[in-house]
Amino acid sequence: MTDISDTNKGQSNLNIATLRTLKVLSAFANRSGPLGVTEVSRTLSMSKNMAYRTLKTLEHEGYLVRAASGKRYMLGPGVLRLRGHIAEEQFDIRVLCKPYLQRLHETTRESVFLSVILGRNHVTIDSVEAHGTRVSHNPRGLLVPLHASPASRALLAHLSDEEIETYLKVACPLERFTDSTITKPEALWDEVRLVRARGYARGYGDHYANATYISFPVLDATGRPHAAVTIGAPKDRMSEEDVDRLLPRMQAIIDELNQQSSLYNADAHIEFEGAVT
Amino acid sequence: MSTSSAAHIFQILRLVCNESKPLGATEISKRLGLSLTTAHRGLHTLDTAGYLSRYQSSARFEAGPACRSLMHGFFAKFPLRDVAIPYLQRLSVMSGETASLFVPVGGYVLRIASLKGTNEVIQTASLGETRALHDSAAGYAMAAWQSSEQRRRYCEVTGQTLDEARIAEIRKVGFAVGTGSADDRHVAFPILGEQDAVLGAIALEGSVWGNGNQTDAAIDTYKVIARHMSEVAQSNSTKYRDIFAHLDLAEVELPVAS
Repeated sequence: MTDISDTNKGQSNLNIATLRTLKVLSAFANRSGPLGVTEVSRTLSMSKNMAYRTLKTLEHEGYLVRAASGKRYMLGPGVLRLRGHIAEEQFDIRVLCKPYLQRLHETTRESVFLSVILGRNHVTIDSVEAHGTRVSHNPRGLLVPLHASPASRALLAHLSDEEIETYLKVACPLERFTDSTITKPEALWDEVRLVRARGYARGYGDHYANATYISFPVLDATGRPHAAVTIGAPKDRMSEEDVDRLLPRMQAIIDELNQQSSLYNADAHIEFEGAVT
Repeated sequence: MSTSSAAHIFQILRLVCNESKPLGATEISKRLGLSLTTAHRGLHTLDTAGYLSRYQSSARFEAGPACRSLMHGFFAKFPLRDVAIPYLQRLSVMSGETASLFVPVGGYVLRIASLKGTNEVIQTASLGETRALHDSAAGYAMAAWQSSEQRRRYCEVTGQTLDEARIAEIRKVGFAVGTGSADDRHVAFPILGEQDAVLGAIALEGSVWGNGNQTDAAIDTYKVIARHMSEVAQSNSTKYRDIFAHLDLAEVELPVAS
């Protein structure tokens, strides 16, 4: 970090001491653990005495509080007074994906679904449905285990290997829904590798047997899954060959969506233990 | 370092952050009784540190990116948020109502996550908004599982009352309902850790209760979903505990939403 007092020397219209106080406060924004006098003086190159007084000032103003563990400080509830009107814009995966679901529907004329991970399952949280004979929205809130259905497999494959191991540990024996449900761990690992290599999961009739499905992950910048987007159509209207034919156009829309979703962090941690079954 | 110059800076910062329109030096100096020079220097310092930014290149200022990262930094202190998101998604899609997660902060409850409902009429909820414990369904859902000593202390410090009959009813049915007025038909479910430690509450914010959109059976389902989230949180209770529990209630004073 540049030394503030050097860079701004001579700028009379700037309050150097206060600027330093603000920089110290900012140092707490990107920290998960508490900071003490020594760390602050080292990180921001200031004397211990100055670090001590700055921390005291920030504590007095209510922006820092003592951490429960002792002498060090953490961000305090007082920062909520600086909320302004900026905190109201927030990330909602449904809002982000909606226009892309619509475009996928216009491209395919079929039903499009948005699903997220909930514990050991996926749950469908939004859809754009086709007209006439169509694949219908799963009942609101229906839970589908992460090894069954293309949406589940698209999501599962983008978790870490350790998480997949944990899922297998808590979910085994893997529940069978149809003859083609993947119930063997080794076969599920093969599928995970296939989905990772291709970037999408195909339907095998492994959860619902009567329609053609393809499911794409919506990822963050690190490759963690936010959600899966699934296109589903009655078999007689969309064959696997039709899916192959439509794939480049679908993939182009999904790529655009992923550019947007990569700006936000997905859940870093999925709780499988004690989760809804 | 003079404490008074820091005090001025934070006065200016709070004023600009709490204003719905951008402010310039003249208005700030007038409203805070500071000299125009002090206001100018304060704005320039806050702008340099990223706490304020110029509104459309004008001479007026609004909250800047450093305020945003402070808020994000503060929210990140509540890992319960990550656990809650999929549950909130599921609750909001099932109920059509806005589903929010509240955590305790001193004698307040703070909304740290919220997912908009899909019903025709919904209530919007802003993140970072605080409410007094006695003044919301989410607060009552938490108060009901606090110790009677904690509730007594709350009443002593704030001069408010907590309705013990209402609390007994909440403990019996497992959820708290709003006052029933047109804008408070909320339903809130406690999120409890090991030994019923209060970690937070999930609230469905909308016309949920009494002439509302939801049946009793539906509310029972939502209660089960909230309990599932409690079970997940219990698997790592220390991680999700109240991080401000060591502060005295009197130390934490925050603005409340009206």
